Amino acid sequence: MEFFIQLIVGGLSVGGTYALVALGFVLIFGVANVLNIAHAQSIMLAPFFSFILMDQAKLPAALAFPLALVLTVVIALIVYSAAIRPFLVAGRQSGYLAPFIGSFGASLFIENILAKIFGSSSHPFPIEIQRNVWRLGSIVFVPMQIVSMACVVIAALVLAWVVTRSKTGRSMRAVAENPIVAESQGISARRTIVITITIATILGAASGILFAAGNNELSPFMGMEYGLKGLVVMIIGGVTSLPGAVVAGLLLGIAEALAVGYLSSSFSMVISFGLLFVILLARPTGLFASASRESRP
Amino acid sequence: MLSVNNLTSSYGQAPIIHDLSLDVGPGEVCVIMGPNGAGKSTLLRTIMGIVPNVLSGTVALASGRSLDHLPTHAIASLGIAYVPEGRGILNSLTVLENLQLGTALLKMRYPQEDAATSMASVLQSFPMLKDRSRERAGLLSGGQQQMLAIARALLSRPSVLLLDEPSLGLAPLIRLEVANLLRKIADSERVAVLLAEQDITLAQRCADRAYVLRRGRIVAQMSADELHDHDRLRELYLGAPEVLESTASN
Repeated sequence: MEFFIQLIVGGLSVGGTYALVALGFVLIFGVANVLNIAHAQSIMLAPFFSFILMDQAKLPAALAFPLALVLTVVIALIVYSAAIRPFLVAGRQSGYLAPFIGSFGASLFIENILAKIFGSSSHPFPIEIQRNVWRLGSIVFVPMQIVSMACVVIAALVLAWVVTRSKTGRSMRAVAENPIVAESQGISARRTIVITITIATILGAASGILFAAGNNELSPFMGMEYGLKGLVVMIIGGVTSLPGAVVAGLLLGIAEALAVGYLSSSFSMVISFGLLFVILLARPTGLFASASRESRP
Repeated sequence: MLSVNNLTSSYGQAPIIHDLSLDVGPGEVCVIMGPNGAGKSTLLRTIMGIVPNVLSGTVALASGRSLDHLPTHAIASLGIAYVPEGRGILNSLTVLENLQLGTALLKMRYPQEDAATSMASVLQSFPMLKDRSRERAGLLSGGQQQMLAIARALLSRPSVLLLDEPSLGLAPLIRLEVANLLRKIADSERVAVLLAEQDITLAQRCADRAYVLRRGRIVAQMSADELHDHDRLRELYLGAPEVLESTASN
């Protein structure tokens, strides 16, 4: 039983980070109506920028992490402007496919550039992780798990407040439901999408730093690896549901932890897509389905 | 207040609005009438910058401020309120949040204005909205949604109000209520109201002037009195009597 609870704790920690990735996908899809695959690369870029700033520029972590977030947001906005927005200009609307392909191309471009510069192999993440453990009864916590869970809870609460209570959130929900009506109320859909991508990228970047710090490694391919899991979580959660992304993220994290604990670590991806398959068989629109635009964030 | 000059616009290559000119003055209710496909909605959407292809012509406010090539949100912030066909209510937002979009526009134009006072004043005029302010707007009836759309537009204190088929899907009594409300807004707030409408009764009730549109062109301009000439209207809507007789006999 203790082993089981231990796995659940580990699963919640990792699952919360998956949820952060998925929340970014959900926000962008909900507001901009685009499946932005390149969002996955924010997971990889933030730790790489942190790596460069700490390892090469010798900046302290407290300065390197915020700077890395800013640089990652800049890249995300460049990708949006260059690879997605040209396909969304009024009169040239080309459905889901063209912006999807544009973002997919940008994602591969970024991944390959990083692989070319830093090599394909993994690098150690240059941050001292406390390896001592904390105990709560018989349950053991690694400090990084606590940091990770705290970050996820804070990010989810702040995001919930922004979306449901703030003027920015109201604009995001208005653009998500009907961009033309939102524009006729003085809301710039373009500006709102830029803000949405910024928020989503900060979530993705934070999750990337948490993944890299938790595993003490970073690689040019980690964006797509965790991004795919974020997409699985997004679909399981109902594609456009923010609470759905959180619940599905935790569910996937727990399922993976149990599979790794009782079966083998090689079952991680099998569990992700197996869970997706089973849930979609039972509920084709995901756990928290909201098919119409009006119920998006 | 609003001046449209020689406007030609299209969705693709083929023009929908052809060389169209009209003016709406402050306190005036002007109706664009015409059969389906005449270009009524397209005209309003062109004024609001939603139709991207403006091939020629200009749209300007009385101040001389041109609306040409401005994005829709910038046009809205200049005091042009737009209630699209289907009311344009954001169903997932609460009634209050929908109204707050109007006060946000008000603050954008008049930063010194007190949004809370404006909100209280509008809610006094629409007590039903006050009672249901915490509910999702999508749960309101069609008539209530229309009132919400108009109240939201009024909150931004516009100088021009564009409405696309406000009578659509409403019961006759509610249509009259909407017509009276539009008349009142024009008279008391000196708002220039331009509405696209097929309901002649509503137009008769509130309009000062009407333009009849066919295939994107103005084919007639009528005074409020002429709107009661049903034979003339039928001819303008459907074509000359001899054409009608020939169609009927065929």
